[in-house]
Amino acid sequence: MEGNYYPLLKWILLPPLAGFIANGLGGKKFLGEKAGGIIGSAAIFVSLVFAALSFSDLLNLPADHRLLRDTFYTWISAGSFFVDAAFRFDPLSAVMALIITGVSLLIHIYSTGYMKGDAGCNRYFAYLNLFVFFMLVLVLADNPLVMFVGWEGVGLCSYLLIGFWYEDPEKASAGKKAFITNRVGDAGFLLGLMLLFSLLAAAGAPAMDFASLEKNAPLLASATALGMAAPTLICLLLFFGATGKSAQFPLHVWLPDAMAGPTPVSALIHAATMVTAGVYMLARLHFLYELAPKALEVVLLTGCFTAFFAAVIALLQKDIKKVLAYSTVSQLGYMFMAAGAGAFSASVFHLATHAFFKALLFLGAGSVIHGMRGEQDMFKMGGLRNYMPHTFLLMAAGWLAISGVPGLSGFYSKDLILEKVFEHGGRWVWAAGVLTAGLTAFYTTRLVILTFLRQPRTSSSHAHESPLSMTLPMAALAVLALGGGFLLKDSLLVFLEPAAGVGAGINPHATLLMAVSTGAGLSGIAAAFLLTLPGPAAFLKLTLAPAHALAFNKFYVDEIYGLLAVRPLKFISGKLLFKLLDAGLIDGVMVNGTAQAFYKAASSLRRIQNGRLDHYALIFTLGVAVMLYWII
Amino acid sequence: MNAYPLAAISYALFALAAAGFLTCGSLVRMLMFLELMLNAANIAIVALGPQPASQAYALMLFAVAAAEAGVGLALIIAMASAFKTLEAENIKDLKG
Repeated sequence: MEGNYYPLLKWILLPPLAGFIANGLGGKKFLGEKAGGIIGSAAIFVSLVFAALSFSDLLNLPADHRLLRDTFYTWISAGSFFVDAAFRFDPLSAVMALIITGVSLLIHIYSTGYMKGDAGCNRYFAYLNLFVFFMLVLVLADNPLVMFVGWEGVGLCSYLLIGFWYEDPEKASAGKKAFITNRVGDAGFLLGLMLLFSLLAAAGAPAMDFASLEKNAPLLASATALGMAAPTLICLLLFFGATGKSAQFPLHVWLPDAMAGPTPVSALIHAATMVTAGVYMLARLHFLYELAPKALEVVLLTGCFTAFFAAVIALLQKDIKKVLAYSTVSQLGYMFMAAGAGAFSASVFHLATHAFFKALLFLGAGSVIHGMRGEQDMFKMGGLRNYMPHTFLLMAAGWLAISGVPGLSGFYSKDLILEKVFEHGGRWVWAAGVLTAGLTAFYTTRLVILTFLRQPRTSSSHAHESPLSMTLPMAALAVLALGGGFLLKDSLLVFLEPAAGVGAGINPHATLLMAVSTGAGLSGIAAAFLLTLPGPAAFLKLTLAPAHALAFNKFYVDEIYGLLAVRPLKFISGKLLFKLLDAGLIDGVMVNGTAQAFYKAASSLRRIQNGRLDHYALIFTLGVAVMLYWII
Repeated sequence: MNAYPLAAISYALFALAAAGFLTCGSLVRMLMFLELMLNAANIAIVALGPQPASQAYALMLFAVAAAEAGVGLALIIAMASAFKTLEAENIKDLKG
């Protein structure tokens, strides 16, 4: 088997699992809150150290042979179908593993401050560690099936953490919504995998590890399924899974509701790591997508539409976390645009920078919410820069980075994506991307203005600065958000090129494109400063009232789904399945019916037992006579 | 010795006893008919079985029959005191 055996890989995976077990079993009684936080963070730290060690070993290998593998055991062996519990560490996995462990470590440390005094602190760290474990399984997996285990595992942890404060029914149901929406996508993912395997097995190449898949994928080029080219159908099904996990239209509805969870969870799972699983999956299976240009077109258009659509919704949200949630949906749209344009390494680059600045923004929002004692409505904030100066400065770093101010991380990755989209995706898609960049700058600036600048609107003066355990991780992320793009812009793409396909090329219009997208970002910032002044804001509200209502209510997507999917389902499950099938057929006919049948049969049979000895004796004698007749 | 006449006596005795058992109503008589059936079986064993082992079986069966009669009579006495009757058709508490 290709790739070097590398036993250190299991040491990246195991510490978070050990942390989960320790916190899950030890709990509040044996460990207590403080030890729980320390164990949780230490587990991630060990994992980060081993990821960094593996990374340096990977760098020492020649660029074409950067692949480390570790097979634990044969997981499934059924006929020609072999799946190993195997893990790989190649440039793409390495980048993902470093982002995941690095950002997780910072967020774990932040959480020790944020969750202080919460009754479920140990449960929280147990879930968080379990999440990191599954996320690492997802990105280190050596075949799509192990990847699917991680894929489902992070979904589970997302559900557990969104509904972390399960006493509140609204939060518990937000968790359910996330889980069910993801399940819809996962069905597509699973179908895609099955189709992939069955076609490959039919072509005589049933091996499922990524290296063999890459080698054997061209076998599928001429196959068809359901009247479509097989790669296109497989890619579309897998991409449907990605839309669920990465909150792309039409399955984006769960992510804004997922903000019900603790804010560090939103930063880790719903901004930096889990929601990027779809992007990672596309980059990992880029060889399949390159066989299916039609599927890539769908990815491009979906990403473009989602980016624009979510940015428009984000413009008018009141809740600080909802703005960031829609912003995440929109930025994920950017990543899919890049993938759709065939620039998988650009999408991973944006994934990395987005992990930095969006985690920073979320942690900043968490710090604000912490300082305001749970208030999330931006219209009740304002002027916080005087009360929370550190948070303000750190948040400003995230704000400038996401807005695409030249030199910061968001600028490089977004610019690269727009350049690639201009080359491969067409002008209209590019124009929508640029417009979205402007909108992004606008809503983030609006968030910062409403929260930190101008005059306090309500009880902002009660706000207090957050402890060091919260501001220090934010500072680390701020450094990455400011400088990460500059540091990574060339090295990352070169590093990823063997794994993720398309590298950086020189575009003749690069400077012009860069100027346009930067201009869009800066004018977005300027527009936000102007339009949030009381005068223009009131004017806009008056003139654009219907559009405002439409965007504020998220284009009524939830309501449409309620009408089209939830109500028919409730009808079918309530009236048909529950009343008719369950209560009527299963309970009525099958369970109670069986009992009734025995009761009726017994009540007619009891007449034989008339209690008369002579009758019994007669029957007995006749019985013996019959038996004798039989024998003789 | 020709065993067939003895066997014929045994069958006849068994049939008579069984008929008596089925037709009579009193528990005491039923018990006596039971004993008769047992004796018919005894005769059949002695007549048709291998000698002399079957004679030993017959002796053992006497002992068993005596014990059975003792238990049966005890039961009948208990029933007589409980139900104040020994007619089988009047004792039907086990009617379902």
